[in-house]
Amino acid sequence: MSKKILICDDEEGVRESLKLILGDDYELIAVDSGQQAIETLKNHQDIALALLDIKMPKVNGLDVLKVIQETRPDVKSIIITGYKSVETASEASQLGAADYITKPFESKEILEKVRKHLD
Amino acid sequence: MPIISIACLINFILNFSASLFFAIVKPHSKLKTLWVLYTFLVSIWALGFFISTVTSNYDIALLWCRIQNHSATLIPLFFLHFIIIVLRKEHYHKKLLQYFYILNISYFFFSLLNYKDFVVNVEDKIGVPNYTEAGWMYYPFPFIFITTVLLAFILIQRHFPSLPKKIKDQINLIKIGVGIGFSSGASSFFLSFDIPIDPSYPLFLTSIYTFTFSYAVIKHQLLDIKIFIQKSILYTLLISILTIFYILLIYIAENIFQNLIGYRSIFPSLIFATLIAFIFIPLRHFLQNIIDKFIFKESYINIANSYTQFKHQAAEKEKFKAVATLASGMAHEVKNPLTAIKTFAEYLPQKLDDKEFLLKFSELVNKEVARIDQTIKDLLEFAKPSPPDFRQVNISKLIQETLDLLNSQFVEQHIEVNFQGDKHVYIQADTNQIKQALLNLSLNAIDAMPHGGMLTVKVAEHNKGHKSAFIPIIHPNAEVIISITDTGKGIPEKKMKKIFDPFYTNKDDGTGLGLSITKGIIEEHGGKIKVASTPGEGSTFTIRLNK
Repeated sequence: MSKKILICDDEEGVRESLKLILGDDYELIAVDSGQQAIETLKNHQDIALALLDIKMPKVNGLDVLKVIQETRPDVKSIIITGYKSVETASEASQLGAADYITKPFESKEILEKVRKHLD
Repeated sequence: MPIISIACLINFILNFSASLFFAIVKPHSKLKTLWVLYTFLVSIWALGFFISTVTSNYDIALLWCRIQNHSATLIPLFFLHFIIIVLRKEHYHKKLLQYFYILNISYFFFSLLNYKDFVVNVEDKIGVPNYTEAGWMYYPFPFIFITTVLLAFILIQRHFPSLPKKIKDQINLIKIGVGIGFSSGASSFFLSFDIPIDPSYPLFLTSIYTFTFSYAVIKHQLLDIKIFIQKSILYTLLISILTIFYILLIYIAENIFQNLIGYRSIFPSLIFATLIAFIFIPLRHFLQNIIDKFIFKESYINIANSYTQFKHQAAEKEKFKAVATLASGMAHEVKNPLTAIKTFAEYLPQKLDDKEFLLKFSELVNKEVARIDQTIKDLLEFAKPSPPDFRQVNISKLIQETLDLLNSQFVEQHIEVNFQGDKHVYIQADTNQIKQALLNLSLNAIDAMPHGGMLTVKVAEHNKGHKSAFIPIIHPNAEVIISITDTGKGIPEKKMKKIFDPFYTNKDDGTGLGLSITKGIIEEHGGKIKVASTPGEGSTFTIRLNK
């Protein structure tokens, strides 16, 4: 059985792209907001990895990350950001993210990082 | 009084007052210091010449003749240095200047040490009293003098073509004035060597350089001295001239009366002096007015123009800054759609038979392209200049659009945005100007909250009061109140009064015009803007606009 990955991004284009890249190898659940991500994590205990967009209105990726640390430490997180900022990277790793990806991303990069942290 | 003494007296008064004046006024600069030194030495030379030619005491005449000549040895040196600075070649000709300093200063000291062999004697020559009698130490003097001055002129000629226009104008004036000044001054050398050329009349011309220099300062900002000081120079010169003129008049009148009446009487002089006094002030005013009209009118216009130009440039810069901020936000807005298009394009070759994919591809790419297009349109819309165009606009919609434009900035800086109010509030306004005003205020709020915070924007309609209830105009007293509140560092009380002033800014890279432009826009719409702030808690800008 292929591993389950949660995709959380408010942009449809990004969600669809990630689905395209990862859809053949993994089972995907895509949500468009931080709140939905938190809900989904509660309802799907078999999610192994979460791809989280940082910049989202209201509940952003880092908030979701915090929730994961507290309630689902078994889930690996990779944060996606459009800004290459040192603060975000260190903040993210401090919060427990396994890795981070910047937009625009290469499909190879996504596959590599996901594989690295899931297998 | 001998003619030569009068020439030297005039020379002394003009140059001494000029050097004193320029020594005092700011700004101080190397250029100015050199000119002051040079002019001061010329005035000492003139004073020495004056005293030595009017006194009947041999020892005094000899002393002052020596003072006059020794001080003159340094005049060409400072002039040379002055010219090199005006030509902006001080570094280029550093070595040359050093050599000439060594040459001239050595000569100055040597001649001072051997002063008895420099000016050995004073005696009457061709009717000019107490004139210099040159000793062997004096012989190099004209050569060093001429060489140094010539060098200055050669350098001027050499570097003239490469000079900016303003400096060319300055140099031309200096050339004429000093050319005449030095030539006429140098005419006094002849008699020192017993060559019978009377320098009395040529020496009147020595003062010309003071005038041409002053003109260069006034008209061509030679010393970058502000207008009111430039005016003062001119007025001072004017008064000096008038004073000298009157003194001469009285002196001549006295002589005439003495010849007529046969004895010296104070009364004609008194009457004459009183007459002159009455004319003096009106004449002075008259001349000052002419000066203002012809010489300074242009300057005032130039200043006004360059100020307007500067303000315009600064306003453009401010706008550019806003555009730059938007552009960086836009870049992010464009990155996302591009990512999607890129990924889908990448997978296209391997999914050519996947109908579902192809449909998704078409739908997504179209959507994302439209998004990019809109983003660019928004930016262009803001950046393009347009004439004011007042019409009914939905201010709530404009506010929302402005906030949307800055969305990525808000997200990046962790600023929560809270927009309260009716979605359909209309006012008479120019869309672009109002957007710019809103943008300025929003950008300020963002700057005030570098570590995040909350931005609350409220829009409300309000009825002012019952006063004009009798006047049947549509929406007689309705106004719209917009408030923009941030939770930033606030504005200290003492700065509150100034924040709408042009060019007042707290930021290193600010032009200080954002708020002043905003205020201008609001006032142009017949509205009012004011600010309330608590340092450490935040600020609220309140705009009132008529419907």
